Amino acid sequence: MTTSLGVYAGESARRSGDIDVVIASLPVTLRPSTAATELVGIAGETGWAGDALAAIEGGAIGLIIIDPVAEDAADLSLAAERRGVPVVIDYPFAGNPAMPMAAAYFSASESPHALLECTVTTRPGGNLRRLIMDQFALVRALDGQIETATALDWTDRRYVVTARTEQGRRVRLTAISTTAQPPAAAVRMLGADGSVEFNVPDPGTARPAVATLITPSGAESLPTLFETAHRLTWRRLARLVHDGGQASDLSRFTKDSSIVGALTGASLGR
Amino acid sequence: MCPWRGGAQVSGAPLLGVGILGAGPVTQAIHLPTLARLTDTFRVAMIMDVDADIARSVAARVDSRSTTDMTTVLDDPDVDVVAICSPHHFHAEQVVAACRAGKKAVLCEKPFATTSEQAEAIAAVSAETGVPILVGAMHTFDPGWLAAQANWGDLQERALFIRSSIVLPPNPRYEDFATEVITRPSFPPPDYENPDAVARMVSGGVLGLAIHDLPLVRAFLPHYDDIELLSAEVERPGGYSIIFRSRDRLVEVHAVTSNNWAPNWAFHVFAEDQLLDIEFTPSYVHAGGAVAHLTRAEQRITFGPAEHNGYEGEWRELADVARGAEPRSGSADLIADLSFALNIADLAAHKASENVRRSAA
Repeated sequence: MTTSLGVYAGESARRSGDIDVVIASLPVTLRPSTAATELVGIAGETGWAGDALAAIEGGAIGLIIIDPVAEDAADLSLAAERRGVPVVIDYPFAGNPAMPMAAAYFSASESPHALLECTVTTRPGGNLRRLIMDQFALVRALDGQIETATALDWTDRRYVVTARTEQGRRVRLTAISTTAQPPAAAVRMLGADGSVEFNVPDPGTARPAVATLITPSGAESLPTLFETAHRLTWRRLARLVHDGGQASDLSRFTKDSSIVGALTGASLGR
Repeated sequence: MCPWRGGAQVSGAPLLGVGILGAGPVTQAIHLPTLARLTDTFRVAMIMDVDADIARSVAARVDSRSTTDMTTVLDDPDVDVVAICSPHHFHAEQVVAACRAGKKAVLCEKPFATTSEQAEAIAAVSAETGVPILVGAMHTFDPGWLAAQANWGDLQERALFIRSSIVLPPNPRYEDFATEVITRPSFPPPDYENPDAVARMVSGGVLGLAIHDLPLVRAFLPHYDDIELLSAEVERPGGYSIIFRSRDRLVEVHAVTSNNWAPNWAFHVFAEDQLLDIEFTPSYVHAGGAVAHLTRAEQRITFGPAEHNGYEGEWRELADVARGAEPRSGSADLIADLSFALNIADLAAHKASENVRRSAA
């Protein structure tokens, strides 16, 4: 049996990442800690990269960044690599445990001219610059890295962004703020002979995502997994720490961040 | 007595004689099966088509008379109401002729004209003759839509994002379950690299498919004539993808027609505190009415599915207006719907063809 890892997180991270709930559901792997010397959870609000760098310099051996906003993470990335500290990103939607199996459905539905659309509803007042980073990660996990993006419409309550992946796939990202329903993401790829639908429910619950592959011969759905994205991300970090592994989350995030930074006119602090 | 010939009305009111102009797939697969569900209200009196064999064959299915001449239909005293199911460019002329003939009501397939000027001329003739006109935008007659409309409160004032999304297999997949089609138009293979062909595909998609839901979209656009087109593309193998803003409202209309067997015809309106989502049944088949959901504060109310859909709904309303009721949509609404659709079609066709030109350059 492996030794449990202590988890330290500030109030904002505990709340936004449901960290107390995660620790309660991984009682053998994790335990709460008042010292930031093992695993540290950091809320992805503006300035998170500096907080994360400080945590590494303070002796943390593994970091989770919760739902981060686009930000320059170059210094953090260098420090994490130099000290061998895995840094993983906890995306509310892209971190869903059904993601790898759903990705197999998307790759099975090969259609060069297919449109990939991703619509997310979120609570009013939510930070849309964080949400789009999650959508970028969602598309990457399901189909491929977004290379170019253009905002057709961007307000404090919604956006529509058109994008292309490195394979040339056309992508449409939409976000709407509403109290009508819990946050949710709906991804759909419409091909010439079939389609894939992937619906990710409120990341605050363990309600399972539903993936459906529609082919000329019928439709099939994935088995359901009742685990939150938060819990899966902490399990991944714990495994990396135990195995001495590194995560590629930050390098991917850096690429997304530069595209989103240009898209939203945000300063990346360079 | 043959049930098609009438005289067996059960509602008490005399049966309404129907004259149909154009006997193509829409008449064969949609209107005749719909009228077969309404034999206590209508009887088919005469069917006209420029192809005498088709007119005769289709008329024989419902034991009606046939002709190749529109005037013969309009002069027939047994024809109370006229359904115009001919190619688009004949609609305006035929609607005007039906009004001038003093029929009790006219049902015209969408679009009922191809220019705003034609639409205004039709409205003037309708007002002058007192003949009411209905346009066969079947979703506006669907019980699911009507129930949502009666219950959505202030959604029209608060809408942020309106979306019509149509995913459909090829039409024959449904036509062939609705009837046995004896004639079908053929289309040349699409040329996605030709700007003019792309413009025609997008315009044709808007006026042939999006037009089903554009009246629904317009219901949420108080400034529907103020459009800023953001994006327009042709979809492969068929369809269109159009995004535009109307002041503070964002709209997406898209359709993909492919070999995907699973139809999905959806209409959504998002507001900060409410969500409307409607799933319509596919065209042609009588698969019942739409299912509409209104969601507010995580509470969801469902309307439908009703036993009948908008096809039957439009004929029911036609019967009502032929007997003196006011149509739910007046001429001003019909003109506004058409102007809106024509504007979107023009803007999107231009933008999509420009995209192709730019890519080729």
